[in-house]
Amino acid sequence: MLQYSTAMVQTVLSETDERFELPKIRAEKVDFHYGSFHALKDVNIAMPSHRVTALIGPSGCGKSTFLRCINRMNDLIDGSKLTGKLLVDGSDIYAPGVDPVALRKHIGMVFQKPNPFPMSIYDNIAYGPRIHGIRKKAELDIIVERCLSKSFLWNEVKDKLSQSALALSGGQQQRLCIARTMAVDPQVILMDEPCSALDPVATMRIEDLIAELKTQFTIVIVTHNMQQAQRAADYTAFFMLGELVEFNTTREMFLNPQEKRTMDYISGRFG
Amino acid sequence: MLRAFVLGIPILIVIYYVVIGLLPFAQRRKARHAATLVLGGAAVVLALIPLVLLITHLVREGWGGLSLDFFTQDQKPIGQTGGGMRHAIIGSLIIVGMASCIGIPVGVLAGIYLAEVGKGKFAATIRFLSEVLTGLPSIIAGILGYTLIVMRYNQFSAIAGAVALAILMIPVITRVTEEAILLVPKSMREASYGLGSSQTQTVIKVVLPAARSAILTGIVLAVARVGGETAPLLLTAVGQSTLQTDVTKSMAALPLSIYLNANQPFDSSQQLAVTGALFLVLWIAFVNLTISAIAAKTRPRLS
Repeated sequence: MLQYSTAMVQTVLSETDERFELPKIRAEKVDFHYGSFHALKDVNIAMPSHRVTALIGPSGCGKSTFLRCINRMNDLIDGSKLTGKLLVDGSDIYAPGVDPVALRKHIGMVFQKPNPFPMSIYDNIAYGPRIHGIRKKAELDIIVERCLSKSFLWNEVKDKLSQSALALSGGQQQRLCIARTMAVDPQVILMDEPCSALDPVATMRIEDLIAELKTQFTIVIVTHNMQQAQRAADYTAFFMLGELVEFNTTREMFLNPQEKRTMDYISGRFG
Repeated sequence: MLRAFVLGIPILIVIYYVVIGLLPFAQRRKARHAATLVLGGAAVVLALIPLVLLITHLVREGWGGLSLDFFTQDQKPIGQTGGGMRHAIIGSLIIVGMASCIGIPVGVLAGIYLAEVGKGKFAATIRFLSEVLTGLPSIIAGILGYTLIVMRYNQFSAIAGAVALAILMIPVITRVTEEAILLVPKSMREASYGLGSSQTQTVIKVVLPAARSAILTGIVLAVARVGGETAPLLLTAVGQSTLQTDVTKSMAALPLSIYLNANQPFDSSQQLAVTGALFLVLWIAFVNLTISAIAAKTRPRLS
């Protein structure tokens, strides 16, 4: 009963807030090519600040590609090309002169498979801050504790910070990766199917963590799991064959889809 | 012996197929498995025979010569008994050390370049050439060292020897480094880029540590290989029968001294040669074991 009412309050809040929410990330006529393959076609979207936006759609629909455009991770692939505008806080991140390395400090990423560095837990978290010039042990200690606490990992690992991060379980590793991302103080966190390699219990913990994190970060999450989108996301975007078919609040999207293709997909008629 | 070998293998193959064919179908899989085990085991034994013979010979003949004199004395004038290999051991250390100082940085950096930056024709050419160069006959490296340095300065020198050995090391280290780096999972790099690190930071802080033990192993193999090379030194460092530490002069080296002494008709020279060979084998084995122990202890697991 209590849970139900909290959910109601949250829904009402997010729907009333909607009008006032500033878009953090906005795509205007974004087209993306891998060589000759047209992976994203005329994508227009505005994702609100401090909310969770889920990108759903069948495999190969371009949702991960779009996610990787937001921190210019696709730049690492030869022959990839983006046209149109991708704005974060109003400025085009593909404008000439924008340094993708500097950009990625502000737009962190969590990957499908937990990928901690083969170092100690402490060094994993401290990696980002060290890269960005923080050297003092005392300062690093504070960051490590803060990030691990925020990802609900501190109590589990505080006595073994110097042990290898690879000794942790899959779910713990993924929470470590989220903590590592937070350590460089990004504004946006992109998550590429962060739970697909995890069991349901670990998945639940990550989803709790996401709900907690949106107070501080803008989160974009790619998921194959439509229940997960409904549980975790305030907004949902449905992609198909490189096109953005529909974008709406999660509630509207699942209760009252505007497009037949969306309807077919969320009701499980294909995909 | 050779005839038995040439005839024996086809006969074995025929027997194998006849026996398999005669067996009922259900038993063939087990028979094949047994035959593979036996043949594989036999091949291992065959491969080990020369190695075991060599080592036992070296130990039996050379062990007696491993005295304090061996390490503290230089070569005696030809015909005199006694003497040691101090000059050659120190010479080898100097020459191989200098070769490593040239070869390791160049090889590792070239490997990093090929793995991280190298795309297109230029890199493909370099990659192909270094692959070809790993099979370079070592005398060619000696001729190169001779032409480049000995002829220019009109003087045989340890430096020329070091350059010749470095030329042999570089392609090996380049290939090993490139392969070790390419084995580091892409997810590791992406994690680093995702935190806003540059390519240089990613390579230094994530990729190289993850590939470290494989690169170290490759370096040790390369150093061990050139440590035993004689041919390139014949034309460059030439050899010396006394201690020489001036690197611009001709210098002794273990493999050279082994070669020169083994050609002498005197028992004491031949004793020096075989003991020198034993020492070289022991030394290389020791370095190999030490480095692989260090590598195993510090190897990061990758997944």
